[in-house]
Amino acid sequence: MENSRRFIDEFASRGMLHLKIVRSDIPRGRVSSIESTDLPEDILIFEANDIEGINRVAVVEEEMPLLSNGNIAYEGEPILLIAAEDPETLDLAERRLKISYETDFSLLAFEPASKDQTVDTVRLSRGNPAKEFEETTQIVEAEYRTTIESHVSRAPIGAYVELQDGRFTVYTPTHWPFHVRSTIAEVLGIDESEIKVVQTNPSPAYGEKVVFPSILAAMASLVCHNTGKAARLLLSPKEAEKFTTRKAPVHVKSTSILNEAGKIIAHDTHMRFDVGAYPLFTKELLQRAVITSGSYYQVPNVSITAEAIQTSAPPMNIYRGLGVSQSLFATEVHFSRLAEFSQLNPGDWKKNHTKEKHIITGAHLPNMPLEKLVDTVVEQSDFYRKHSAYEQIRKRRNSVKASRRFLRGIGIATGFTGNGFTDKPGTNKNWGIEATLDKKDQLTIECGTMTVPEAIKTIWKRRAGEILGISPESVEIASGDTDTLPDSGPMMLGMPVTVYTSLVDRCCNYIRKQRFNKPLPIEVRRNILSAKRSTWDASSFTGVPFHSLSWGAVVVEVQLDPLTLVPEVRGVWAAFDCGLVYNTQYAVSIAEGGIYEALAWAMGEQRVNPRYYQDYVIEGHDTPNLRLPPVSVVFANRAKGLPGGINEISESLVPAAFVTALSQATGVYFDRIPLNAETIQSYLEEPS
Amino acid sequence: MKLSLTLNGRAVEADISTSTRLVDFLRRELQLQSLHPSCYDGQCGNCAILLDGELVYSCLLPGFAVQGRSIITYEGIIDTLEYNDIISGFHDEQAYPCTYCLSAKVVITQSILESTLDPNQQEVLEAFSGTYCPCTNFHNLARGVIRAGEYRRRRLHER
Amino acid sequence: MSDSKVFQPTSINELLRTYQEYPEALVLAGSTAIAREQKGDGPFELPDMVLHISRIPELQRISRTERYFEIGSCVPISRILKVGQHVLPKVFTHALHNIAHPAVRNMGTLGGNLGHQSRRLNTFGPLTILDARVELRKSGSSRWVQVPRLFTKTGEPALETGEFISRIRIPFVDWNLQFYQRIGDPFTKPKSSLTFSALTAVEKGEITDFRVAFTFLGRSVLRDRELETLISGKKVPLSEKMRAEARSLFRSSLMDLPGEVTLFQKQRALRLLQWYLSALHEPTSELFY
Repeated sequence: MENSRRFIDEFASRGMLHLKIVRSDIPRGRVSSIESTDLPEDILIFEANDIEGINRVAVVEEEMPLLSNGNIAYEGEPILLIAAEDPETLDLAERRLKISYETDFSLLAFEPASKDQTVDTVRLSRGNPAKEFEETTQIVEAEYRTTIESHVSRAPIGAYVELQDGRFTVYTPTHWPFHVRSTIAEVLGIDESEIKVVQTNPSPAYGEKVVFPSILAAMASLVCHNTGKAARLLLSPKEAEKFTTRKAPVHVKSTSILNEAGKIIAHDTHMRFDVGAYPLFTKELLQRAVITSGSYYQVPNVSITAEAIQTSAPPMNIYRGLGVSQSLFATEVHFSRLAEFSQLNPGDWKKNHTKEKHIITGAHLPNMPLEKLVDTVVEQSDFYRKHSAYEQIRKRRNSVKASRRFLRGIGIATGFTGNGFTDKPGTNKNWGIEATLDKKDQLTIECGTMTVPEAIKTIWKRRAGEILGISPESVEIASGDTDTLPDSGPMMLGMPVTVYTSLVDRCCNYIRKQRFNKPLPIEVRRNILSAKRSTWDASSFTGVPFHSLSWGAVVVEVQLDPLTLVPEVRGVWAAFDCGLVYNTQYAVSIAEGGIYEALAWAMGEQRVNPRYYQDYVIEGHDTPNLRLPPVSVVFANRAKGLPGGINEISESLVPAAFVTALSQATGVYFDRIPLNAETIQSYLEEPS
Repeated sequence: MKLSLTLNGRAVEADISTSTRLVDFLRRELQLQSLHPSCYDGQCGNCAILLDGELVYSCLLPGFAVQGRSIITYEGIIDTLEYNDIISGFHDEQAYPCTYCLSAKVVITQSILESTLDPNQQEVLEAFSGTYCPCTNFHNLARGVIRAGEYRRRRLHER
Repeated sequence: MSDSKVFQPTSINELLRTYQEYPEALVLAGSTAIAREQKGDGPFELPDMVLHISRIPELQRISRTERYFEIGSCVPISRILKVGQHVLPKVFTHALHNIAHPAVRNMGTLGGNLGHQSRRLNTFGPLTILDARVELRKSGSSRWVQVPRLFTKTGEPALETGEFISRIRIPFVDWNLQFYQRIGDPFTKPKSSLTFSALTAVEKGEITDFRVAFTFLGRSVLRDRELETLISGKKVPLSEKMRAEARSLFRSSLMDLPGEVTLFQKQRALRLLQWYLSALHEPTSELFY
């Protein structure tokens, strides 16, 4: 089987060393002593001092230590590596290691945080919101919060390193193989040419395969380098859940002024993200949050600030979407509230704001699809009728006690997410894709992140075939490793589906033009252009910020059992425009997966599975009813252009629509997720 | 302790520590790489096997509990015509499980089709209610399983 | 870690003998509960002696008479559903359906669900109010007890040394209003998980029998006999005054529950009971809200 289909826990060799990370059990302080007497024989210990190169993992302009240099910044920070041929002795050794700490340090909290915990701030402003706020007395103020999200089920993560012909051969399920290589080179103090990185099967993943494989591979390489033996480090599922990637919590304060027609005159929003002890990709996270929060609402006076707060929590690392779902949650709940204040149906209110076809960065998008998407979900969900019916029912209701009549509500959320990076992260490396048309008219595409999903590879073959007039079967996506493939950058943020696809197009267009001028084979490489060079100015936040946008409108209908306060989703209706969709049914499947994940996040569940519901018949039926929230997804039918990401947009709008629906059902403003029965009760009890 | 069982139709004998979970025994000692335990809590379904024909999760069982019993895993299904029925059904309905959970979804489907070749959506949802991976939506999956049942019925009738 | 000694008796006599010899042994059948208790991906932590009892034919039997249904303690949940789905009381079959998912129900046994040492799981409430009886056996003796007698008042296992659950006997009685609801997973979210089981017999508009039980986090069970006596004999629908009296009675019983049950859970239970009382009616086949 190809390496890219094998999981990392399938790689092993006789006599290899098994590794385990010994982690700090305090959240902040200094290691004062490590007592390692009485350890089982054959246990090897590695610490920061054993690193001959630089003890760090660097990502763009940020970094974190590979092994603690004595300082502890979060609970679970790696202090030592222990290694043995027999994995069972590792647990025993870990128990016998005695690490003492100086703990006379105060924790870095998220709420409240001090000013010097702010590691970066991104701000966008238009007009003069401060002046407007001074001159009015009618303002809408609110705060929103989301908590950490983590995932329990992911493919194994780790690294296996061995020496082959004097070079380090590294197997790891990375989404960024060249980062693995550069990290190892730096940690070991060797040249990158001494390292070969082979990608193993990473899926399914939630962002943890972008940087974590580099960390684990550097650790395993350190042991391999210092012992000459093959080494394997695998994280246990619990370790992976706790210490790899989590969705960063956010706290948002929003203040707005509406005019009599219900239009927003001024809007100020301040988002604070808890990025944990070591932030990575901070600038990108903050920029994405600001842009998606500003969204398409044409507000003349606006100020949006996003701040990254360093805390003593384990690093949140890179989670799918980088801050977008949190920002869209707060924005859309807030704007639904504004719609309510303006006494307009939220569907109409949103459509009123799409007229100018601009997004916050000023980019004019004549084909902005939002109005159509809103129309679609509103019609499919029967939104207007339900919204007004639920509104009336709620207003008529005196008491819910002792009746089991469900409280029903419906909510809508709209917005966009971006595909590709806003800025190409500051790196001196060119990320690109290569293509070669050989004498037999066979095209070979070389992409450094070869674990790109099969569905996307199929799209490349189809497009390349169309451009060059050859059969898709004549197109091959090369397999290989860092020795043979070009550096294509990290696979994240919709890069494969949009950015790499556009590179494949550009390579093929070049070949098509040269085909009858030049002898075959024709080789070409195309690099990812910084969006900056074309239409995007990050300093002034103007232009088209991403390679493409994915748009969506989502309606969620809920009912709340007044006795148990357990919310149930009665339906989700979603319409997306993610550019050109090749396989609609497959796209729908991906979107549905994202929607169920978002519902789980919103309800504080690990997952949304079919569940048994009583229909509250006290007699009669044979079995309780097994239900799964019904989900309907449609895609706008784009005939041409680039495909766009589906995951992020499908995940990002559901929580806001869910919370808005629950607010309508109960008449209480909910402003956080997750919302479970206990949190709902606490809101209902609060004096309004 | 000594353990003997029938694994995918073959008699197997092995030494096993009594505290070893069945999934770890099957994966580490018997090299059954199709099992992907990720929750060890009976929730993700990625270690599903058939034990004497019944669907069970091997992370919840101690290895010694299968003494003398018969186990079928994905490896025991993959080379059969029954596997073809399942994959054809999945394919027809655009149910494409990821490489991580495909084996579990095949085993669970096999367990459904062993009890009925004409399952309804409720039965399929029920069987998959103990799975987690979001790669394939439940509706495509349910249609895929029902379609797989049709393929198998047709194949058995033609025989 | 040193290996445990595992006994896998194949007959009840062998089990009785072995358990008498090693009364400290851990009795294990489906093993689902212990697996879910021991979180983490390591090996199981087992005591020195383990008695694995899932292959004893006598404990795997299901039988039925005119008066009762009898289930061996090691019968998997799914088999009970397969055999008894249409004849067993709904309050019980709904509880069985709500146990995890098919793969767990294929392994987990009724004895394990009912006799779980530290948690009162799905079937405890229904079998309590159904007046189910449990056969306890040990070498040289056997006795039948009611379900609540499996535990002491403080929730500790009340089985004698060397004693195990062998059969569960569920009487057939006509209950025309049955209700069961479970909220939350007792393993992953024990604090917010509860079960509510209720049985009512109504004849010509009069409640001839009335029973309710709640189970909460861990060992907390609430069956309020005073409430049951109060409601029995009354006409449906219950008057507002009667419901208020019942509510106040039940409220004080709830407040006496141990502190591990949160106020939120108690409020939920109270609301569920109030609703149930207000929903009691002359049986029909109509949907009832």
